[in-house]
Formats: sequence, C-alpha cells, structure tokens
Amino acid sequence: MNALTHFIPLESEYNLDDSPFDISDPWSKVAIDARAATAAAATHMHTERTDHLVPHVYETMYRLRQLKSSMIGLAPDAGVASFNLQSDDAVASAPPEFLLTRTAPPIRRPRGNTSVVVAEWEGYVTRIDADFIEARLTGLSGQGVAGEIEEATIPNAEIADTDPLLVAVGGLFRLCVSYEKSPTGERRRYSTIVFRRLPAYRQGDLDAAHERTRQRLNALRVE
Amino acid sequence: MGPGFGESIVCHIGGNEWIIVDSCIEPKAKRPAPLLYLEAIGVNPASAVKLVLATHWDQDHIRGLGEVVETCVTAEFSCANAFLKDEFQYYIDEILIGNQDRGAKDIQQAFQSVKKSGRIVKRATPGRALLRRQAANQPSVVLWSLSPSDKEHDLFLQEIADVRPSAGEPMRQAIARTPNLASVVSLLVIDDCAVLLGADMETKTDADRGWNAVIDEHAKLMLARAGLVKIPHHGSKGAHHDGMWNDLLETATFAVIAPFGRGESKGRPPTDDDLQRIRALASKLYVTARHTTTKPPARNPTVTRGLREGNIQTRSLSKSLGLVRLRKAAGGEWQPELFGPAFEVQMPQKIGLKPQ
Repeated sequence: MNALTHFIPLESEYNLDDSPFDISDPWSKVAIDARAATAAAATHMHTERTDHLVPHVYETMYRLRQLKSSMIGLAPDAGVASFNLQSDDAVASAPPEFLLTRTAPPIRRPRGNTSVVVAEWEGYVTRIDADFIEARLTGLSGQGVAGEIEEATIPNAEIADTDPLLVAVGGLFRLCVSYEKSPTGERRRYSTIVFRRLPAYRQGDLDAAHERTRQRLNALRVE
Repeated sequence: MGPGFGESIVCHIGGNEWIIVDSCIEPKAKRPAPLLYLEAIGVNPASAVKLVLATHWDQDHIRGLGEVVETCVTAEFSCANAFLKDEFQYYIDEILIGNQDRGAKDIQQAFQSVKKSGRIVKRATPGRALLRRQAANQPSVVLWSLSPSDKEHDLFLQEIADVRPSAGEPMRQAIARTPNLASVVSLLVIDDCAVLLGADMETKTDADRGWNAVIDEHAKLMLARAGLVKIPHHGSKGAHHDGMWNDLLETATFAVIAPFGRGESKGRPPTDDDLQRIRALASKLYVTARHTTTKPPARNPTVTRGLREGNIQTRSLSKSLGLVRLRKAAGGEWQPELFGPAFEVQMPQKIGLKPQ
C-alpha cells in the first residue's frame, strides 16, 4: 500500500490515534510525521484556506518523497499520490525551486495579553531559611539594573512550588519584573522567579572534571 | 582598602617591591583595586609585585584575583594548602561554576595564569616563610604564614567534599559555606617592624583552631610583635581573641578595619560595640568606610514597585572604596593618610548610617 494515499485531507480533523499505519514501520512513521508536521502548520496558522498551508505541505511532501525514494529505491518522481488540495497534481511534481519561491502569509494570532519584561536578574541561592532565601543577583537588563550586583532576601511564598532539588544553596534562578497589558489597555505588574532546571551532572562530566583537576595540579609548580 | 566589593592590602617592602594580599573590585572602574592603586602611584605591577597572597576563598577577597595574578607576571602566588588539593580544585572546576559569579572563576583564572607562566605556587602552611629577602642596602623582609592549622585544613576539605555533586543532580553554583576555615593569617616583618594581617580568622574554642593555633605558631617561631594590625573578620566579635592583643601585638598598635559589605546594615560588623572594643585596645583605629545602605541607581518605577509587591528586598553591593594608607620610615612612627570614605575612629564613636 502506498502510504501517501492515506494522507488525511487537511481540512478534516487530525488524530494520530486514527492512523491506519503500523507505527513500527519506519515508512509509516515518516508519513505520520509528515502528517503531524502539516497538521501543526494548519493549527498554527489559524486559517481555513488551504492555500496558505501549501508551502509547508510542499516542503513536507518533497522531503517525504525524497525519503521514500531513498528507502525503496524508486525514482524521485515515482509513485506520488494525490491530495485533497487545490493544484495537488502540480504540487506532487513541483521542482524544489518552487518551494523556495512561495512565502507564507503573515500569521494572524488571536488578540490577547502581552507581557513586557522591565527588569531581569540572574541569581543564585546563598542561604535558605525557614521563611526566606537569600541570594546574590546580577542584573541582566533594565534601567538601573543591568550590570548591578545585589543581594536579595526573597520570601519563600514568592517562590513557585518547584523541584526541591532546584531550590538549594547554589541553585540558579531568573528573577523578572514584568507588566502585562490586556487588549483593553489595562496593565498588571508582576514578578516571577524561575529556578533554572540546568542539565544534570553526568558521570562522564564529573569524571572529566576529575581528570582536568589531576592535569591542572600536575602542571602546577608547587612548593 | 575596602569595602568596595571586598578588601585588599598592598604592602611596599622597600626597593619598589610590593606584596598584594587579596583582591577586590573598585566599583566604578570595575577593575582590581590593588592594580588601580599601584598604577595610580606610578608603580608597574608587572615588575614590582613579588608575591600575591590569597588568604581564603571568600568572594569578597578574591574578586579580580585572576587579573591581578595575570598582570603581576613576576610575582609568585601563594594560597592555603587546601586550595592545592584535589577536592578544592575539582570543586571550582568549570562544571560547578555559574555563569555570572566571578569568585570561583577568579581563583581558577589565577591558577591557570600561574600554570601558563610556569610560576611557582607557594603553599601557605603554618610557620612557613612565603617570601624572604635578604639583600644588601635593602631592608630584610620575611612574610610568615601562621595558619590555617592542619585541623582547619582537614575540616575545609571535608566540607568541600561533603557538597561534591553527584551524577543526576542539577548543576549549581559553587558556594563557599565556611570560607574562613582556610584563612591565612600572615605576619610581615621588615627589619624591626612587623604587621599582622588577620585575614578573616575567627576564634574557636579548640586549641588547634582559630586564633589559638595562630598564637601557638607565633610563639613557636618566636616572632616579633606587630605594631600594625589588619583587624580580622571586619572587627566582628567572633574574631576577637585577647591572646592576639596580648601576645601578638605591641602595646601601642595601629589598627585598620575593612567593614563587612554584605547583608543588612544593622548588625553588620563592625558594630558600634565592636568599634568601641577595638578602639579601647588600639592606640589608633581606622576604618576604610562607613556602613551605608547604598541605594541602587535610578530605576523604572515598575521595577521598584514590582519588587516591593513581591516582598523582595534588594541591597546593592557596590559601595565606595575607602583607602587607609600607613607609611613608616625606619625607626619612625606610622603616618596615616585617609582617602575616600575612610575615617579615624575616635572614642566613643558611632558608625551608624550617616556620616559624622
């Protein structure tokens, strides 16, 4: 069965669970991925006009065709199916250059609140008390903030419930003061503290650090 | 000089040769204060500085240290022996350092600079002469290291090892929990004149720790008493030891304090009580700056209100740098000069929040 013929028309609801494909079949997975990418583009663009999706679909189909031909040894133009799109025949055999000449129209997002960061710091915890934490801050942006080094006392109530491992001495976080503007022009001021979920130490990294330490010490002339 | 963002001591040992003890950042120039001072008086740090001593791993004592060591290309570098152990070197390795904290990066930069230039690193162990000069037509000079004791050395390394990260833990900033554990107290002896540099050494009940151990070491070496002291640990009560005044210092001693620049103003050492206590013991007492609650630069009101609504209190760490300079000719008395916010403590004196 040619997986491309089962490509769901873009106007209809997309549901991966309804896929007729065997997910373990890599070719099926490619088709599923293509469908997922196209459906994501459709959702993202908030439009019912399929024409706007065409460039993304073209690219998806082009890549799908390339992959298919490399997997089953077919000529690139062989076995291309049709889609429930306008000008689909032209799409199926469109040269790659065509993909580069079409541009997507501007994305129209629904109107909502907008947030503006007024000041931002990066900090790390120096002490944890029952009711507050103490931290060292370095200003990242904002008038009178950027480049300044400060100490801060932050009530625990201001810290969101987060992984306790992150809120530890030495834990890094970002503190932002922002304001939110509604479509009607109202402003709301707020501060956020987000602990950074930095990558976990990997044993390989720790071992490499040990080795660097050993080399560093060996290279020093110590008396 | 201090507090700025820390404290630093620069010593002229005659013959245009200098020693730098610790480093701090001049807040306006954002460069190491000891280098700025030497350049300001026409001294070339690259050729004149013979030794750079890092007394302990506290950010406020090593900020800019990397640049100092890199600039003073003819200087040897000295630090506590614990800094040259696997545990500490591993702890300050790159993977444990946050992006914005310079403290551990500074000391790492210092080691890299020393390694690159092939200079010697001298372990500061009790009873060791970190620098010795005996030259014709030059005053004889010895810089003695009096601490940290073996017990403190071991305790420091144990603490570092206890906070060593494990695989699977999220990355974090390397923090010195009790940095004063590995404090290097030193005695600079130039001919018949001695200066005690107290670092951040504190008092412990254990005979093998703190000032007890320092006093023992001083007695063992039968060293001279000092006529000038850099008061330890910002003049805090926890660093006071009667034995230091009775056994290590002359009767008439000049004392200098670099105040503690972090935390809430209230209770920050030296307090008024600390000043009175020390003033009663020293013949003269100078402080590099007053405690002030430095206001941050002008900010967008949204920022100020946003922090206030979140009950987040911030305190600027950029403070004015004060300088106390004391010079002494052979056989003469110490002649003080005060710069910036530095002042002399008269009896009785309230340091408070407002300048007198």
